Amino acid sequence: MHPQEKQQELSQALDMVIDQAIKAGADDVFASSSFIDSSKINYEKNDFNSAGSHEGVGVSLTVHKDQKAGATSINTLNPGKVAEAIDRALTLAKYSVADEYLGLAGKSEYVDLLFPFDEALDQISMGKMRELSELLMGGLLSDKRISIDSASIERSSGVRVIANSKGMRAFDRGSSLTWSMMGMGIDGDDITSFDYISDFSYFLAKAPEKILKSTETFKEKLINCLGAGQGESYKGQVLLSPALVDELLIEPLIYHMLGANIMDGKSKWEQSLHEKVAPENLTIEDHPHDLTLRGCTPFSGEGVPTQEMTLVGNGVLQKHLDSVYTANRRGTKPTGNGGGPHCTYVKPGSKNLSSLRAMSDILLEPSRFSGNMDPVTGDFSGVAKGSQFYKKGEKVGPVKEMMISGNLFQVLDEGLTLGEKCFSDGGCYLIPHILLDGVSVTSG
Amino acid sequence: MLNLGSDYKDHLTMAKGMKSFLDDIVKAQQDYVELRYHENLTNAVMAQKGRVDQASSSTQIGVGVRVLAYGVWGFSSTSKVDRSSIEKAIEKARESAKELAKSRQKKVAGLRECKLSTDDFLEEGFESLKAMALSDKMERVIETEKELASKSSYINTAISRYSEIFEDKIIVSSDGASCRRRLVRSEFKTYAYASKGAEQLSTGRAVGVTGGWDCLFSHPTSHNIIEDTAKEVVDLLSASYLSGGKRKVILSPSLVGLLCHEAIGHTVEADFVQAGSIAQGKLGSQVASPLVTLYDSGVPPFAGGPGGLIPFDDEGVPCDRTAIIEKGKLNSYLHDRESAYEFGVEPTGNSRAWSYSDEPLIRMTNTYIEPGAHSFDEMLADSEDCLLIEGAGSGQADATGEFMFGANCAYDIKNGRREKMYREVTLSGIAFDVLNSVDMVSKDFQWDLGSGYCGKGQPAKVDAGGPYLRCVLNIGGRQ
Repeated sequence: MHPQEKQQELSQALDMVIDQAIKAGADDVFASSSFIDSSKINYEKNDFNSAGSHEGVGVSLTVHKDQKAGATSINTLNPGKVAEAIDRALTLAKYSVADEYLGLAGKSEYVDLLFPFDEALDQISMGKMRELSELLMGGLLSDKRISIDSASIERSSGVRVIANSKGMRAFDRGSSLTWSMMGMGIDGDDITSFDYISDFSYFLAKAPEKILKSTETFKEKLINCLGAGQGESYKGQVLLSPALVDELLIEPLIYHMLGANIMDGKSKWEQSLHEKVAPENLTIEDHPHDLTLRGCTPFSGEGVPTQEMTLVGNGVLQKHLDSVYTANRRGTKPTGNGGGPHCTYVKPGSKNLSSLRAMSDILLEPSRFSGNMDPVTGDFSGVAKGSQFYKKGEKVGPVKEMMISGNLFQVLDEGLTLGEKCFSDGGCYLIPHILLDGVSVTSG
Repeated sequence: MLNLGSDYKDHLTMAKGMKSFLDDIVKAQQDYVELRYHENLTNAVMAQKGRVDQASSSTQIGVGVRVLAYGVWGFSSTSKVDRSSIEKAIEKARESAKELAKSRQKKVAGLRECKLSTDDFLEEGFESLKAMALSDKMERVIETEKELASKSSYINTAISRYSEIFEDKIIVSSDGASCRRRLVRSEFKTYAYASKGAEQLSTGRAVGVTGGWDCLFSHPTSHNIIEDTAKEVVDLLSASYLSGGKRKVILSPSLVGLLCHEAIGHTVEADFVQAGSIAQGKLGSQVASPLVTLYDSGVPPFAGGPGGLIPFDDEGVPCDRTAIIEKGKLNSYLHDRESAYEFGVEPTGNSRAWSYSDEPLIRMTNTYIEPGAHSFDEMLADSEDCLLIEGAGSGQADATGEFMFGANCAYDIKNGRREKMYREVTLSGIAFDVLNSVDMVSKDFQWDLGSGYCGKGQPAKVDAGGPYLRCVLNIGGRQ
């Protein structure tokens, strides 16, 4: 792929889309176009299963006409199909309901993130992909107790351009290698729960080391869960991994910061700006320009510049997050993260993992949560997969069929204890382990 | 009056000649080559608080290419539907297979030979729903939201959503499949958010079918969808929490469907079996109560336009009915042609791909438990110290058979009646243990997961259901 040529091609296509839509009667238009080129190797059924590739374009547009909106998308740049898509969007808008708060982002300057575009990765051959796949599987299957249900390595290169009739125009490009693995530990009749991890690299040269690290982490997780016994039921503390902190604590709290939920009366925090909403040791930030994390971007999906910001500072709510539409409706300004932070940071505490585990007479430390988290009520309930059990800081061992339940807001009232190191786990966050209190743990 | 079908006719005209065009390309190939032409048109409308938050239409057209060469699968896809692009994609897939053959230990031994479809299937609702004015569909969505919002002063937000996916798929293979199917999957959903003091919660109802407007709104879940959603969200405001532990429960058809799909169905997909699922090596074993007979079928005998209806799968294998569990004994896994060859059985018509850029995988279609002998009232009358669990939420299961389901609510059963209501209900257990504990099966039947999508790296439209079922499992709750 030649990213600059593709960017130019997509940019010209968007000029045509916007121009045609305005000529067809639209008052305003937002359009985006993307090109993706990918190749992938799958491992399934205990062997390399298939190798494949995909190349495609996408065009989507939203028209505003008489304060009504209609949206369409197609997977071709064919001018005839684009014209049909414009007509369809206008027809959809015609039958929609007028909304005076519809709007588009204005023209802006964006941070130049110097997005990595590794040509070696972009041009990777299927032969090199196969070598990396062998590295991944060799690392995983070096222990006979590991059973891999599926694994894959995928190279993806892409260019995206967005523009609107107000003069906004932005583009980004990227190439990345992503790998994932799902499997279980098996030792005779002893079978662990399934687990899953994934990671990525923007650079081909750095990929082998990161792949081997992933395989070691995954093997350790699974083997540590072999020999699981029965746990105990109790109400008290549970130690969450960074991934679970994101799933059970941070994401539900962000729900209450979103302008869309505030304007619809679904947020508990409509009146809570600059008030204490969490323990003092909880600080949540958005760092959208951190190139080491997935999700980093100089602009939001509608073209609003992103910026670093504190969402909750020392337990005090600092921001509501607004898109152009919710900002218009609420009389605020768009924050560039109306759908939620792009790269979430949680400031670490001071406890190492051993200290966190020793803080409770009895402690469950799950690896994965399979259940429901209702952000509206804050209620959560589900199975704690791959759990380890600790008593007075000493590891008792893995336990099975454990369920955890509680309420997020009650848990916040009990206070949080934060670990001293933050992890990204290949995700869009940097988060420490957190010890929650007031959680019901039920042994099956 | 808007008719989104008008521009769609051009695509259909093109698609009519597509089958012979693809047949012609495939004939020239040496290896096993399979071409899938997909044309998906998706329309969606959502109303919330008097606004139309979504009015969208998406068209995705392309050809997926699968080649079995050098004993390995190669795959490629193209959105350019011309001879040169398709032939280039075939070559790319073949080259990928050649490269991967260097690493694959055990080559694909073969594909099970079987009768392959040459049908042209047009689902009943496809044309009529396509012809129906979108303005009428939008109006239903907008009016539903208004009416739901007006049902109670406790309801602060109501949402109503309608979507339709028109699927036109042509499958051509070098060993004889040459078939086309046109189906429409329609869905309708309602959600309500209610608050009382500091208490705030939500609930929803969803219905999905393979079929048109009449089929969608004749589904039992549709009948009182506004009233049921409003009543449940208001009742939940004063519902209690359950205490956790092992309990005897009656599961509603939607939860029976979730159990069939998540906890059993995935463990018997042959690719999961080969990877070591709990069902491996258990064919012929008693894995459930003799009261349990469990099927997967693309063309099931129960009416109602199940959401996973397909007359043939994406390898062109005609669908029938697969008895996964027969009177408690594990009877069959779910297969594509490759796994059927390895297991020495007939393929079951379960090879499916979501879009042209996805590879076919072994997927369920419509999975269900056969009805039993008792009426629902008889079950309630016979059940003391038992919970009635209703409304499937999200569900997940391991290949070990350990599952977790969310449910909308639960009720104590006293003297044959529903009594106290509970909220935030989660269920877990080991699938075969739970099925072994089944001691009563009702004679009712309902499809109730047709609005759901199964995820296995790519979505699939499926359905599931069954009768009411009494069994023992773990309830998540407060200590």
